Amino acid sequence: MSKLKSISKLKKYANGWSFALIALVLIIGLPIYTLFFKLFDKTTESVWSHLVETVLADYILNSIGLVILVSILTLLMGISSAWIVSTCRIPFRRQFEWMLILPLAIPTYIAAYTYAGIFDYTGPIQVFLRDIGFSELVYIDIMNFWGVAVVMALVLFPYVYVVARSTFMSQSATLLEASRILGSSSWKTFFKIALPISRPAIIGGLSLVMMEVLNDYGAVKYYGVSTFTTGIFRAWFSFGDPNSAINLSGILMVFIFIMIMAERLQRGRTKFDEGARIGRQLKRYQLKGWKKFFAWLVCFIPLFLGFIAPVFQLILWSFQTIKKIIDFEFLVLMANSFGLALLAAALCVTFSIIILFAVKVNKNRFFSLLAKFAALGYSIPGAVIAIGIMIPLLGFDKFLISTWEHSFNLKIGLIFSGTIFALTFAYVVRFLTVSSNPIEAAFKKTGDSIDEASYSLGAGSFKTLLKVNLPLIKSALISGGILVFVDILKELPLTLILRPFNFHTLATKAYELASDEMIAESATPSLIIIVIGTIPIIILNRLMKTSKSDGSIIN
Amino acid sequence: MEVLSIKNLHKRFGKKLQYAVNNASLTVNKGELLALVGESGSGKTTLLRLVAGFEEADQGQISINGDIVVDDNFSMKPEKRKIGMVFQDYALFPHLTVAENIKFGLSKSQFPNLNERVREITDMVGLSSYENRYPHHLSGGQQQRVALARALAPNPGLILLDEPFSNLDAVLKDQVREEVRSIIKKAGATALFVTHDMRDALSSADRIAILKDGKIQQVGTPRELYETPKNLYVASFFGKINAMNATAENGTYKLKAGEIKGAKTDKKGQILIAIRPENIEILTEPKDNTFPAKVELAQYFGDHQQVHADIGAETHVVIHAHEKILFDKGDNIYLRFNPNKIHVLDTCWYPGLVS
Repeated sequence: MSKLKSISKLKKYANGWSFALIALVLIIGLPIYTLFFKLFDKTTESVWSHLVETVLADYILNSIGLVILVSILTLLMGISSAWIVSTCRIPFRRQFEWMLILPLAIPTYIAAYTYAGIFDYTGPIQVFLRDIGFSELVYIDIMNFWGVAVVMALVLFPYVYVVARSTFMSQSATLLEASRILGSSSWKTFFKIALPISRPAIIGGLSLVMMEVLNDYGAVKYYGVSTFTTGIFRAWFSFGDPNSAINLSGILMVFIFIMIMAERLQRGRTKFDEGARIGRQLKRYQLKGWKKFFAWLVCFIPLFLGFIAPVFQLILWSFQTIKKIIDFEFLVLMANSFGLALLAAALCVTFSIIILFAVKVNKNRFFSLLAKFAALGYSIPGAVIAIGIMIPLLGFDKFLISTWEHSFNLKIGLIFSGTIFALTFAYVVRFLTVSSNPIEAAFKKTGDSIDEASYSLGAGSFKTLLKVNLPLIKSALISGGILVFVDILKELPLTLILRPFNFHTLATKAYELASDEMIAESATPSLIIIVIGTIPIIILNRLMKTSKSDGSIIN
Repeated sequence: MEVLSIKNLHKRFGKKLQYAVNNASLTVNKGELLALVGESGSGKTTLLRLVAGFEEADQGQISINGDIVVDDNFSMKPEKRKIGMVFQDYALFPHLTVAENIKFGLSKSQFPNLNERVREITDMVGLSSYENRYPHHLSGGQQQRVALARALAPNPGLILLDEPFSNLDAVLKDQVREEVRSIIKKAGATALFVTHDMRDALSSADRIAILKDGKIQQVGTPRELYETPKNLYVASFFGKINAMNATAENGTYKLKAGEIKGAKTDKKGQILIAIRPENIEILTEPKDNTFPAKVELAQYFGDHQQVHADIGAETHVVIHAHEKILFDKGDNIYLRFNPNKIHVLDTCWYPGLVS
């Protein structure tokens, strides 16, 4: 009886949605289990032991050091500017409010070589120093660990800024006013009330910064700092040793896992930031004199260094080189980038819909866990995903080639690895989270009773999705798609590993030109990436204005 | 004819020991409005959702219009059950107009002229001039009528209403209760609705089922429930009631504090009796068959006074007095319990409630 019962209970989950969900998760998880199983393959190769003896310590120290240093810098810049923008009256406050997010549009690798160019011997700073009569001895070398940390922080601090600002703004005015009535200064109010309440959200934003740092390849490579990602590239391309690449990826994943767990733990059961979200807006502090100027600088400097200066420099370079760079090949480049990003974004949105709706139809712990698993990709560095996809696909291709040759005496080329297929696949694995987050939030907002209303009127699940759910979450679909599109356009490490031979995107071309000492020539593709990168920022800003969201849209 | 028949239904959530719905049996007849009344957590909403098919029963049977929809190892999908449902938050499709909302559940095979059916239904609920409005342009009461119209449009065998009046303010409520009842009656529909408010049930339902802890305590017309409550829980649903342990013998109830004579009862032995506050009379002089008592608290409510009195032997009672005299704490009074208005209840139900 009870056995029959449990079978009949399982039967209710046997539908097209659950099968589609399971199939998608199995496919999307491919790089994860590849890494997992390969990691336990015994490898006694000399390359790995050589790496362990020589450079592994460097990789670990540099990666951890960068994460810590960039975290400190982004926290300083992000929290201070967010606090001033939300609680003080300064000139151009409204403009700062959204412009401080703009640095996010510049990928770390573009910021890196732009700043390298600015500080270069022939760059504007050295030229200026020589013009005003300084000797050539005053040379500021930024091509090192410290330099790359500062440059990365300059374009990553908005992750912290965005969440800090939205929690500061949503904190009830009465709470902060109560603190002042009880005799606290504005500084004490900040440290004792505002900051502790915002902590969970800010750390959430900070964890995105850390992921970006660990994901970065272009910037650290350009500045000659060896980290896990450069190590993975070296093991893969220079030594041709997939096992070492996997071992490095494995260690990197352990770090990331610890980071995620730590973030979950610190969030804990803190519910107070939810409850604090009622009440009026705070009346902003009126600053005077040098305090006002200082506050203004705290907002202006990150914006200037993080966006205005590098973009201005890129525009100058672009003017100098645009004639040389715009040709037929460049149009192909654009078509490649846009087409690929469009395709992958459409797939991401479609898969997100299927996965999330399947969870909605089959309310069950197991299915929501599967959906969470499918969304792990964003926390895995691009290089790691690339390796995790390349290895099984290569193996599969080899198998296909040998069996076809064997049984049909036919010679075929690579079908999956080293093709657009592998690249698109990897994009979907990595960026599925980006599209599923806004869609999941939108599904949550529409609620379940509207689905039930549709079923009670005789509609099946497919009609319910098509006629009721999708029209209601249209804007989430569009913004999810745009976010993925932009992320793919900027993506570098994964594309570098998986792109077909001689296939270029805007990102890889910009990076290649910069690496070949043609920084000025790389400015045009870089600018296109940046301009398109500002689109989601505008969307994001509008979303925050309307919903006062807690920043989870970018999470 | 039975439209809905529920037999021995059981439902438990997860690994909880307690049943959300415990051995519930119920029938709803054609054209009838039956209200499921209970506090939150009583299982009334779960029972409704089991009928709709949004939850799956662990055991038991449900049939609608003679077709079995739930049985051991079988559960018909909600969209196949031909049930109309009005949701607590109405769940109108915000991107569709009133007419499109109503049209959603209609099929060409059932209604060859869909627009005509929509017009018929909007006429019936009095919203014919709102057909092209979107839900957010309507008031709460109007949205409710759209939800009702949408549920009624496909001519379902049964319609379910989940707390249909809870989202309305008090002024609107009285009016809407009447409207909903008359629309359902006009449509000739059979309805089952869930509410936590006894007044909703009394003013709109033909019969009422009272639920507590997943069990159906009693089913009956409002009058049956008021006049012959089975147990203290049902009795107390209609307001304050004084319950006391007693021994019955030859038409006399013996309490610890004294005796009540002249009851027309053949009960014998240990029983639980209950009497409503308005059925106790306050006298200022001792008479036959009265209890001397002391006023502990008197509250003035305009049309009546609520008097708490101590009749000795640790027994306290509440009286609703309609006399002109104002009582005060410490007054000596005499109480006469109307022997014909005393309910004999199932013993030892919810002993905590007995004073």
